[in-house]
Amino acid sequence: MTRIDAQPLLLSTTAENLYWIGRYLERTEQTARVVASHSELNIDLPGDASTGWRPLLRMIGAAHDWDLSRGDEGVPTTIDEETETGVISYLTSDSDSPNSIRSAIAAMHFNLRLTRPVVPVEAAQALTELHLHVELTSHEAINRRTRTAWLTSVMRGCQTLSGILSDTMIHDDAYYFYAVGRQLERADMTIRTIDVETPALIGNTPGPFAHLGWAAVLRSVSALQAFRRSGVDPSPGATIGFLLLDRRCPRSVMACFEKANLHLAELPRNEAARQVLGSLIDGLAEVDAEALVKANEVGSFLDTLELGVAEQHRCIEQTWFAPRHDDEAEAEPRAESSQSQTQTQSQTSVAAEPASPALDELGNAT
Amino acid sequence: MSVDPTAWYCALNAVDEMVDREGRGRPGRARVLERFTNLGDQIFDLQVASEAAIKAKGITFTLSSSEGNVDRAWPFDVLPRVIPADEWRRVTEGLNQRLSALNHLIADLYADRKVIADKIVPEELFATSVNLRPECNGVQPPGGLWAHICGTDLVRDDSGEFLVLEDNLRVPSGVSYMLENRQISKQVLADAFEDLTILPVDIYTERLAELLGSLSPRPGRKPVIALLTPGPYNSAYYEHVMLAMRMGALLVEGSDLVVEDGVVNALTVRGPVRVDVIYRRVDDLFLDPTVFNPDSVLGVPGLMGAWAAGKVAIANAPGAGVADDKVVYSYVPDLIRYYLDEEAILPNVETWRCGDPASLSHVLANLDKMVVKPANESGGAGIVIGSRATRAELDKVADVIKADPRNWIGQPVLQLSTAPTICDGVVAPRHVDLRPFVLAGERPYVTSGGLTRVAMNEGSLVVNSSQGGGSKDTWVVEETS
Repeated sequence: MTRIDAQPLLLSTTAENLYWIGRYLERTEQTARVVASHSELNIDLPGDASTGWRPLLRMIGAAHDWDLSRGDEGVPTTIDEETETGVISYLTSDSDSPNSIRSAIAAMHFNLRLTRPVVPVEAAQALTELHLHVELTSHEAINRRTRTAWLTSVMRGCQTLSGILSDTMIHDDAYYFYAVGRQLERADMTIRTIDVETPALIGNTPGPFAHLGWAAVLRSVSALQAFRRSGVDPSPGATIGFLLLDRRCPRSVMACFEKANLHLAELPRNEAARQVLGSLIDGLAEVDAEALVKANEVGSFLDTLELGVAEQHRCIEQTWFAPRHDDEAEAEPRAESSQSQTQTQSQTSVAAEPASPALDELGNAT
Repeated sequence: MSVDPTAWYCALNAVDEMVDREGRGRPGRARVLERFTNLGDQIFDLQVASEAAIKAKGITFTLSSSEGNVDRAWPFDVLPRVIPADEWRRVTEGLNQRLSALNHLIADLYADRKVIADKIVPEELFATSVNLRPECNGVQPPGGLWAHICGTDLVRDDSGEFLVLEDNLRVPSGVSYMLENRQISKQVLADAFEDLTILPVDIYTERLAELLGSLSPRPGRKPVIALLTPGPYNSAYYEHVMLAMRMGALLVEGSDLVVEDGVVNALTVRGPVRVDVIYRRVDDLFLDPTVFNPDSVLGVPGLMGAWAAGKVAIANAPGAGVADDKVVYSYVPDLIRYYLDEEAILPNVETWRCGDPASLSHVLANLDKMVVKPANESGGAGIVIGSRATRAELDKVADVIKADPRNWIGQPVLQLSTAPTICDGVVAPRHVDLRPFVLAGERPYVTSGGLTRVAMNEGSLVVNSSQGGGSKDTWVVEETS
């Protein structure tokens, strides 16, 4: 048995919860960003040129859940107001929706309760503030007039939290689990964004609005300004290549992978996880985006990449989070592995323990 | 210029913590009273500021309801409850004495049972005790200590003396709120801390960590301490987090621990790590499903065996709750005499044991004037206050008592002392109690003050936070002038 005294001890369950805080935090911020950029795009585009709201759902990985929650009622291809309200609330204010910003923040807040001993007090306060803010104001996401400001406030809240964590939390194992979770979620979001926007990029949007597609996709990952400055001609291949491979762009898939790799390097028993990520990085490095576009293989490549991220997640889970009695098979997994379904965590945590018996002995003083 | 305190606050007929019957500051409180009366209406702003600080810090308690668990902001009244240091020193001695006697009792009950042989307490008392754990017989925990941590509830009666209402030895909670209340008062009443000598409370967690560490079966190396919590749905989870954080202990649920080769290991990202001391905040019955509660998913299989073999220390020890029984409580003065050869420093509330036929008839005849309590409930469950019950309720409880007299006691209805409290824009008297926290061991320790709880409704004696109770910071003040 290993005995470790010099390192601060970190429970596997705590590590898992920190990893999920990282994922939820990234997911929340990025959801706010793509809802904002997609809303703007749909305002610009006239009805017949619009792609509707479905791409937005797909970018967040929420299309399937949406369809299930709506039954036959509605694939949101239209841009009427009712559809807009439905989709926007589903992704922002609806506390019953597993894909809303509000639910993600609530889940993060719950995970914070479980990890509070290792999370800096300042960060806990910032998250509590963000949670309260969102609980009280999420209706502001619905109305177009208040939507952008509200989404910006959510992004700011997320950035405040990530800033506090990176600048005040001691960078030990606990921090790196959080940081890895964040980078993997970010990679996932960027991959889905490219996937969804590829048709628009390749030129299916007609006439005078053709340029809006690539601007929206770059804005979705906060890369529009940087891309313009780079002076690269906005061809589909260049845009996709930029988002996949440009290390200078913090939301490019390569940047996410390389940062995750640095974080994994700090963790104990990291051999298997680094091996998986190493081969993902190698595979990505060989990609020629122009060639993919020409061969019409962007979609299939992105699918492979997404599966790779899911495998990375499973490997992390098995290495550090699962009950680790190699020779005992009885233990139940604490969280199902499911590709890019961040929400499973909150559900399994909730189900893990029944309400405990009343132990509070602050007795009656009569 | 000072303000007339009688214009600021008018106490009820009950004993008041701040003022005497004429409305002047009681001994040891004069300077504090002067400070607050001079604040005038500012005190209401300070109340608002303290509530904002609690919200910002996220200090909550968990309320269980049919709708599920809800986190509520911790209720806090900015006016402190004041106790002179001289008086507190005596209370401290009394609390240490009491916990020492209770530890002797528990050790005796799981060993030779001399206390029964010597006829200090009747054997039947333990024959029917729901918190006696035969599994603990013969176990010898480190230092002979079973009840390491005790939360003792104190009240003042009409004479103004502190009386012990009950000893909580199982999983007493509330200490984190004592610590947080002090943080909040320091924040909003900073000036007062410069002018007055208010004894600090912060050291509690260090002393707790020191006590827990001293129990380690591997002396000489840094002990690994784990706080075992039932999880985030427990009403005291906030406290578990805070204590673990301040002690640098691992906050674990049962599933984070496994027993292997006779020792308890925590499952960490670097592999299993042996745990030396468990500060458990779960009830005995949820410690180890192989011993107590086979249906429970809580707990750690094999934990009791590891503890009995001395491979891990548990605080409070399993079985310590046997002394946390309202009938045993009534014998504490006798136990102090028996084990320590001393007289009790802190008196009990007058108590009739229904197991005794003469007392039973007294209780039944005076039900409408008494409080009757089941012996082994907690959180106020089962208690009936005679003066506030209907005839039908009294008849019902009389039948219950007659069916199981050993498990009931009767006490007079106490008029708890009051303290000035902010209520709807005025300063009004509200009833309070006090829960100090006591640590046993070679260096016994009692918190300076404790958690003061307030019944926020006018005239109410119910201080539980789950039933509209509030809290105050408790200032043990050294009068220097």
